Amino acid sequence: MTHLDILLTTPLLVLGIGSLFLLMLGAFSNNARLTGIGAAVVILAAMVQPLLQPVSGPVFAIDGGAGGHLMQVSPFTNIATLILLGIALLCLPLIENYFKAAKAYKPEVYVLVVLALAGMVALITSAHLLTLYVALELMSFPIYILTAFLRDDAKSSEAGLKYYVLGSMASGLMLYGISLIYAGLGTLSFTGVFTALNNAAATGEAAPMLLVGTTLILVASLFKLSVAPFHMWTPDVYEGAPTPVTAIMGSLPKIAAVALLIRLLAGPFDSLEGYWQPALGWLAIASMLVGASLAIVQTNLKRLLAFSTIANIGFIMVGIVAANPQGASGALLYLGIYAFTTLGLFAALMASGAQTVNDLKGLATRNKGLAATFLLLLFSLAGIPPLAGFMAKFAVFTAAVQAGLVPLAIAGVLSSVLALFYSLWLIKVMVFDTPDTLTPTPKIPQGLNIVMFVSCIATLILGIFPNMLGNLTLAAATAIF
Amino acid sequence: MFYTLTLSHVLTLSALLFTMGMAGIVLNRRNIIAILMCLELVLLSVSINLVGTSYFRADITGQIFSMFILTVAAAELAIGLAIVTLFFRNRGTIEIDAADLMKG
Repeated sequence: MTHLDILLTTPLLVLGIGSLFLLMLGAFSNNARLTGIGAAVVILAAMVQPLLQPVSGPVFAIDGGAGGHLMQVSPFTNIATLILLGIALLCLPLIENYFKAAKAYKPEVYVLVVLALAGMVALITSAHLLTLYVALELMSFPIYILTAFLRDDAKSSEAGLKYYVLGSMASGLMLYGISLIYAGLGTLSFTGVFTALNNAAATGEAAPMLLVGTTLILVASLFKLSVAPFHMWTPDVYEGAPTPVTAIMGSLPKIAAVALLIRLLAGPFDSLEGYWQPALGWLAIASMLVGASLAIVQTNLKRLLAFSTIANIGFIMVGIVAANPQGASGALLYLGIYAFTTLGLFAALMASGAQTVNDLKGLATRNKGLAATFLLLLFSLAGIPPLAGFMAKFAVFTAAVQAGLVPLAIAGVLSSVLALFYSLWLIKVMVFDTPDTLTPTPKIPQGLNIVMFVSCIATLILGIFPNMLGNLTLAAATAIF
Repeated sequence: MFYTLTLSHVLTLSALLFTMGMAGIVLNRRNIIAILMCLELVLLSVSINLVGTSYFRADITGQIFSMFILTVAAAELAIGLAIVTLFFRNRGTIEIDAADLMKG
């Protein structure tokens, strides 16, 4: 390893060291706003290296001696890291106003976010089951704490408790899966597992122990993604967590977990495709239908968005299950578009101050701009052309049909119809229902305005020119297949 | 009469402990502290698996992994206890059934 190679891991190093720096900054200045600006600088600094050569960079692995490679940097991880950090920048403005109003605006919030980001970047680049485990925990722990951050709010601590117990259970399952793979194959690096599983598959059936191990590892990643039927925690945790944390939870860890899942399935578990493709396909169908149909009956807006997340993750799973470069590229594209659309929706939710669907009654008469934002983002999420959400759905469906998975595409279209139903219902409530009060909504803080503006502009631009992001994700996905 | 210890003995012990831990988490309806203990049991069963395999396969990776698990488990438990403390402060109980503010 030369000094030039270590440069490729700068995103992780910058985020890791930056979080410690932010901790000191926060402790000595006790100025949350300053720490927030520091966090933005750290995230921007972490983006420099992947921006320099996003798709032309080398595939490079950090050697772990006899144990095999520990981390791998490739065009795929570069693009995933860029999407992740870009979305993370968009998350930061949501934090300030909410926590100020809750009288809990402390520097720690930003430190925890940057720490979680370090875990996510490590997760995206991990090439060894040990790195994967440590990165997954580094990603999860700060989010447990953020969920329970409102100390005097019973709902927040209950959500934290539920997320913690179920999350730790999932990581326990994954660890057991890893230990079974180790017992069966004697190696833990992705390349080692790939070769050993290929040999095992060539000599006959894969041993049950290896299948159980693989299943447990995949289940843990699906849990983080809240794919049905591992979605039980999602609505409760989304409802109880502070709204900006819900927005973070709904976007950032999903990006990291999807990138990891694509790499796991294209890498070490590639030879087991005959086993996981049908299973994950069914889960994708279940996710799309369960999420979209249960979203209809929700009255709490955060729960509604939680079920919408579950449905959207189902669509992303369609791209992953297709197991071809187009599918992986579609999944990444969908993920990027979904993440900023959701962030925009959460910003609009916070700006309107609404908790339940009824609070949105007649929003169009009270604040036209806000209602228009809702309309645009909800239509994009439901997949109306020419908005970005349509292009994302189009990309994953095309990949599924190319891979011969027509039932998945049909379930996807059904789910889109259901999603359109609740989007239209929300819009009907906002535009046609008589409001309970005619007072205009309070002045919208600058930070929320920026997030909503960026989100709407990106929705429009990527809807008309999806290849701006699509070409990058396709180049990234081609690199790993 | 002597038996030789083999890898399958280690794997069986670990599988038993793992099942006990998971069953404890799922079946426990009363105390959150007991759930934290079951989580520890799960992590330690995995450590047994890794160290056992490491010994029988003469490969050091498993032992290093178990060191990482111990470290992460300590951090995990610290966060868990902190969250349980918060929950107790807000609700005055640490019974599982008290975590029922959100349903649906």
